Amino acid sequence: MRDKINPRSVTVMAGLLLEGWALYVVGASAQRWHPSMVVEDETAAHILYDAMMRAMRDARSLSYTSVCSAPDDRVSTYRIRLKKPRFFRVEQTNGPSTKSTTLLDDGRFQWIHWVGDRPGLLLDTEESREEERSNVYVKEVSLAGKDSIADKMVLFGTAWLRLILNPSTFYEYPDPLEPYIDGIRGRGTNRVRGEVCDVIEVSYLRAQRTRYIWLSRQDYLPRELKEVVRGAENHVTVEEWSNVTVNGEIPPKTLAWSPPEGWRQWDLPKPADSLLQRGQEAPDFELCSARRGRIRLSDYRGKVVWLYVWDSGSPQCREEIPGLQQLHQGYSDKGLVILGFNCTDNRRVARAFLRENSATFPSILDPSEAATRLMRVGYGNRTKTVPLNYIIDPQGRVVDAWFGQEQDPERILAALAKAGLEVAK
Amino acid sequence: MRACELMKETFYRRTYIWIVHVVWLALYGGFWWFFLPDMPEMGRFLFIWGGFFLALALSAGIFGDDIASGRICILVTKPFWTGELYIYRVLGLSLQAAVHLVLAGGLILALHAIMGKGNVDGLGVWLLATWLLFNTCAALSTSLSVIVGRAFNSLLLLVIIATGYFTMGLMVTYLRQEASSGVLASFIRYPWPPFELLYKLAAGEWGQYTLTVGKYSVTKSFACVVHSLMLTLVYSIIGILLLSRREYSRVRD
Amino acid sequence: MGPDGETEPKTVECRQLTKVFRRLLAGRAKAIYALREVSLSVHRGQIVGLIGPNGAGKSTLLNLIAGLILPNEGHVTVCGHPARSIAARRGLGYMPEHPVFPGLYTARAILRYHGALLGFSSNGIARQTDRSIEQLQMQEFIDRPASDFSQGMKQRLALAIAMMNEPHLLLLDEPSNGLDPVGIIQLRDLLKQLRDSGAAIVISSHRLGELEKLTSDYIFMHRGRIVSFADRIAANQAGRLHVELVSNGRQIAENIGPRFPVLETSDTTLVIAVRTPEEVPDIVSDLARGGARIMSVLPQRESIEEVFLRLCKEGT
Repeated sequence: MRDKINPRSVTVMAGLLLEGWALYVVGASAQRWHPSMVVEDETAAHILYDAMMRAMRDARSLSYTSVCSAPDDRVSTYRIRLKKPRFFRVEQTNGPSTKSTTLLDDGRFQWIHWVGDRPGLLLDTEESREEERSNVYVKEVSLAGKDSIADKMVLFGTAWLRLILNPSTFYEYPDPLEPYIDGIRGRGTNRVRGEVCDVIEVSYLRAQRTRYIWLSRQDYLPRELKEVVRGAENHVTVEEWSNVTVNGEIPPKTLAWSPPEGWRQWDLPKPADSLLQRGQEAPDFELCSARRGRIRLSDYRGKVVWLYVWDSGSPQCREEIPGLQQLHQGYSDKGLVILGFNCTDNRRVARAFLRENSATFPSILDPSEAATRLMRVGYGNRTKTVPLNYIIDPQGRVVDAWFGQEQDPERILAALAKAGLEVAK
Repeated sequence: MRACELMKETFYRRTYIWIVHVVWLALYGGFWWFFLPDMPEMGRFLFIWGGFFLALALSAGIFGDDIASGRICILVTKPFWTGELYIYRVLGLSLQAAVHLVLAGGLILALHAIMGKGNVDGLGVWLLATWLLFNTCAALSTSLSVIVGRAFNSLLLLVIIATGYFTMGLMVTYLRQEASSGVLASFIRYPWPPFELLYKLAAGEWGQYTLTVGKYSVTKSFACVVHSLMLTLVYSIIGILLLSRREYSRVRD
Repeated sequence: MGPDGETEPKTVECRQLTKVFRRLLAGRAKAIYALREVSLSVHRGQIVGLIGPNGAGKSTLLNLIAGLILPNEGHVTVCGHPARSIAARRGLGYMPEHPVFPGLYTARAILRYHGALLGFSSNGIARQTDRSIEQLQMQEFIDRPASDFSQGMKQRLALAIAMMNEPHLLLLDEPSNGLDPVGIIQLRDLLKQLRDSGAAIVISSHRLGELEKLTSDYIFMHRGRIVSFADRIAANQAGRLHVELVSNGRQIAENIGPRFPVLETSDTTLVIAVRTPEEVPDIVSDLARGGARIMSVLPQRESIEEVFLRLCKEGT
């Protein structure tokens, strides 16, 4: 005999489920990566994207204020003034603070200076943190628009949030992500602060990264950008443009600076300076593997370890991993271990990436705080730059370390040889 | 008729209630006229004054007065479920707030038309968020009124909210890295009146930080509305249970 | 009327009611026994007066019957239903001691309000309002705001509200407060009418004289207990017999004492307690047989005040 269903119990259960769903949606961060997020290209949207790039590159001068914000209430503000052929001024502040970092290129030199004492930088050493704080400036030779303003700001580590659209696009600096666009599609129109904008969605790296761009119909320049990076957690950043002026007059004194009396020139530490030096012992670790189980570095004692720090959002890593796979296939039985290290990616994204590239070498895939701290502090990667390479000898000591794709293959071969492994060119 | 009378009573029970409505509307109008705020600023003003302070003012002593004066004894000896007293009074407050906010919206639109300045984009969403916040605060205040004498329910709620959010502000600012600050922030964010969630709904921040285009993520906004209504329901259930089970005696002779 | 053994349906029945109030005094909970094991029943067509000094438990008992508070032990039913239930409240009319009304409402609006709470239709409310105005002579202030009411007006209005649903049980706490003499007489007549129509009425009042004119059924309470139920005694019947003798009063008292309780004795006066009217001739015969030379025999009616004072004295 069927029991009667109690309507009150059903109502309570339904209410609890509904509230549970609401709390999940309200409390949860944005949805995790899924292959279906990859966007198909639409011609009209692509035209708008190209119009934006053209508008940036064709302008003679461009000035705007960019406010970058994140869900955790961090805000970074950039006041940007750009002028062809190679002049620019970028002032950056965090939150409501009036202390700013200024990056200025007057055509001959790049100057970096601060209002008041300079803040602690990611690349500071113990000594520089204590001694070189006040009335200092950095002076470097101008690279004539051939370096990345956004990356330079990140290098300082003073900004809480980086710019989504690199101002260096104005100087035709190539966007390293552009070759990895999956597709661009239109998302209708929206008003941003009273201005009508066309919205496009740009998907990169098989939806590992998505940008929404609100393009003004007046000048095809953005008024708002939103970027979602799908790592272990989804990071959403919003960038709002205001006070946009194209081909306006920028006073010459704005784009010039000279150090006041009594100020000292200070050399910005190089990221590579903080890496482990030759002969130093590589810190041991035991972290989660991309496959099941855990990997311990000391398990590879007696072999040459090429520790390769990567993430799927780096175009350079994508280019290098097939080469590393070849090395793994050719030399794993000769005492070489290619050991990947990824502490930023979403697990599904990373494993899909490894699968697509048929990468079978072992890889750490561990987004924990311990893994992040190990790489930042133990292995000296303070700016969290990828790719990072360490060659470790069979005794567990560092032989060599470098960022990015080494231009000189000889250096790589020499390092491997010093570690005890002869590799054919 | 019972429902009608109980709901009407929430307006007529005290002389100052209509004065509160008039003064609040004058405040909105004055704020718009003298400061010409942009929509987020006007929205924030509406949100706090119409969603929180109005709820405190209208619900002050809604049960506490009856209990202190002994009038409740006549009401609870009537042959109907005591919970109806609570339900219809809260509905009466909600209806008052709805009318109040419609008038507020009309006033702002009228001023906007007369002055020809300002921006009223998103006013409707602000009014909706304000009304939802009002409902939650009014339900909580009414439930407190069942156990707190006279009109102290409103004062108590004001102190609780101010203390809670002040603490949360301190945690967010100074103790962001501590695990306990996240737990406390969640405790204040979810079981308490949803100031932050509804503010984000109205300010378009739900859409801003999700994967969707536009300011208002439909899913998150809907979830936010559901949560605030559920919270109102939970506060109401607590109030009804307290009202049904408590004892009423003016005199312990 | 009595606690047990009745065959008539009971409007109110209380069994072993105990109510304890706990108050925190200087950090320690102090229990106050407002009622201790109180049992009583009230029948249809009965008017019962609750009498007792301050702190006796009268209001507590009324509140328990009305369902405003809950007993710690025992139970109370109204028309066969638990006191706090909706079924019990259907036949209940309650009038508190100091009724309060919202100041902005007129008397008419208040009646409409309470009519609506009772579930009346608009027509029903109009009918009831007219009836209440008529019964309680409220024409003068029916359209005035409650903030202008005198105590008497509030009492009338509260009574009208209590009677609105033609209750089976009416609970009145100090109903004649603030009423003028005319009002008191009208109240008395009204209550008698209600009694005759079958309603049970329980009144708590300190106005013993008024209560006496209304009923002879009393419950005397003291320190949370029922001290005495005053049985029904015909109005003209004496509770005591005052006998004037020529002499030898004390001797005669000793002779008659075993059979009839002698309350007061002197040489020339005897006051003898009388339980029923039929005892009077027997007492006179006994006195005569005992050699008493009787000068006069006068039945004395013990007033309710005298009963009250006597019981209080016995209680302390």
